[in-house]
Amino acid sequence: MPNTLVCVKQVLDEMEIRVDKETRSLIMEDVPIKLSTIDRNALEEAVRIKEKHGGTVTVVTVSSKTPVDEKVMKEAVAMGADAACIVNTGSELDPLDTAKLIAEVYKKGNYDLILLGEGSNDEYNCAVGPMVAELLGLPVVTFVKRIEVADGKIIAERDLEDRMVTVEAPLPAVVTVVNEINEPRIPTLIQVIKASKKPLTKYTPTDLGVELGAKDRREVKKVEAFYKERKGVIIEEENPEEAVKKLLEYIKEVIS
Amino acid sequence: MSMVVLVPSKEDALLELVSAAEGLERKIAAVVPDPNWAEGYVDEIYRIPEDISNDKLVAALAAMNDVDAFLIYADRNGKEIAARLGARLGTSCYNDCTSINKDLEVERVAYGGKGVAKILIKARPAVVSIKPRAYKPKEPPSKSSEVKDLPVPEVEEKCVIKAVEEKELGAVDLTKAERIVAVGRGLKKKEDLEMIEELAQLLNAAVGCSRPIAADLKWLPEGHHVGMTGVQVSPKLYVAIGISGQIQHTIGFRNAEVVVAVNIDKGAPIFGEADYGIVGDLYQIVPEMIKQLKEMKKG
Repeated sequence: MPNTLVCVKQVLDEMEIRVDKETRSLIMEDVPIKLSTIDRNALEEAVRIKEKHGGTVTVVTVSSKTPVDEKVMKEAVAMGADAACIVNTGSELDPLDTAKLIAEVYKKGNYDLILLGEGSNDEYNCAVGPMVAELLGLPVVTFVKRIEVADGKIIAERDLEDRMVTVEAPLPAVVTVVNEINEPRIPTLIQVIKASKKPLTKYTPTDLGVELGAKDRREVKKVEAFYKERKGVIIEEENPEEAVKKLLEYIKEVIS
Repeated sequence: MSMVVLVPSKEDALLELVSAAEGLERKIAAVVPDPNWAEGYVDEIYRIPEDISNDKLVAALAAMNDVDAFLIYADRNGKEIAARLGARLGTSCYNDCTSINKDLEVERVAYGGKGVAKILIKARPAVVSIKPRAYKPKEPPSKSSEVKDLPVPEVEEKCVIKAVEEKELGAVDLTKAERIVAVGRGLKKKEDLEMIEELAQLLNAAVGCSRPIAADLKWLPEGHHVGMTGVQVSPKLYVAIGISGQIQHTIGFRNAEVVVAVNIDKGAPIFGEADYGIVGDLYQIVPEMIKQLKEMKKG
């Protein structure tokens, strides 16, 4: 009957961020917020564990300057969580700040397992999971493609570049999962509506006794758009023969 | 004097980290299981047991003195080590940095790859991991190295490794390929790879793919995966077939000279990253490309 804490991140949808071709700057207006892709996998895995072994699933999210989008949170909860927790900081954060906040949320509950995605869509730093484990003195298994929960322990397969490593660790433990671990379910409308009724707890860093340190530890000097000019020629011939003929004409020098 | 400590997972990795450390104007130390990896490349070599656990390695690194920065190789396991070390030291960490300078300012992706962030690390010791292949391996050796054993504290190891299975990566090195034909989820069955391979052969190209094709479907060994978490390539020609154009993939080929895309969806983001695109069904376009290329060869 493991109780799982799933840490999810709300991110700006990177696919909707445009580059201003003249100024070479990022256009950040009206970019929607989404749940980080691999966090969905973590949440799905938690719900599957609950369906198989019982226990509860709690979702926690930490927000930096942009407050949490409660609709996005509801959709996450609707996947099968029993409760949600939001930590709004209104501040710039680094991974260690986020990890400290999550560690304190963990201490307020009675959890056996902490699940996260391998990394987030926006920064892909892959740091918060192992940091939470280190702060709490818990075993951590990262980049996991398969987890089995057994009596008071997990057996997890790590998907590393050149090898698969099977690891056994006692609970409580922290696990970060890869995108390939499962296919996340899409909640039904009814589940989304029911999600509103699940208990939601909100904390600030002060509530949790955490002093944020990002500003002291680093300074973000600049964020520039990556931009490479592409010709953007689109061939829309009805006839494949014509289309390919045109293409090969365009690229004949490169393929000669 | 404060030093930079390099933590590689293999010999090639060490040489890349040495290149990264060169511009830092500090004494360089390496933590390695085999001193031969680092002999002549660094000032100090700290030997650790082969197959040391992550628990013990993190503890041993955290106990080192006079360290200004740790440069860890950013393979998956390296990123875990960097994160744990950054938490233990209270200095945080930045993974997958593509550059670092003597002020310990690093560059890494922002917004999933849409941007590049420059971050000045003020905390000491700074803990970063360096993206594989961001730096070329350092040659030739030019220093004289002092070898010592790194003290490893007694720690409780809670994780037990039960099994290790090597992966078949495929013999290809896409980072050296001048032309690549890559395929994505637009391909319906594994058997259809045959025509992709035929097209690649006619173009004298290597075959690549997006992450799902390798990591999920396993239709190709993982050495063929092009993308943010796979290989970054810089060919003269990149042909993306049945690939939608998620940034996690496009970041892998953004340095290609000429990009061609084939996709059935006119709105697919890939067309924004391509020089030439055909909106069409790959099952019609690819056979037609094969046909016309064969004719070109004859004539």
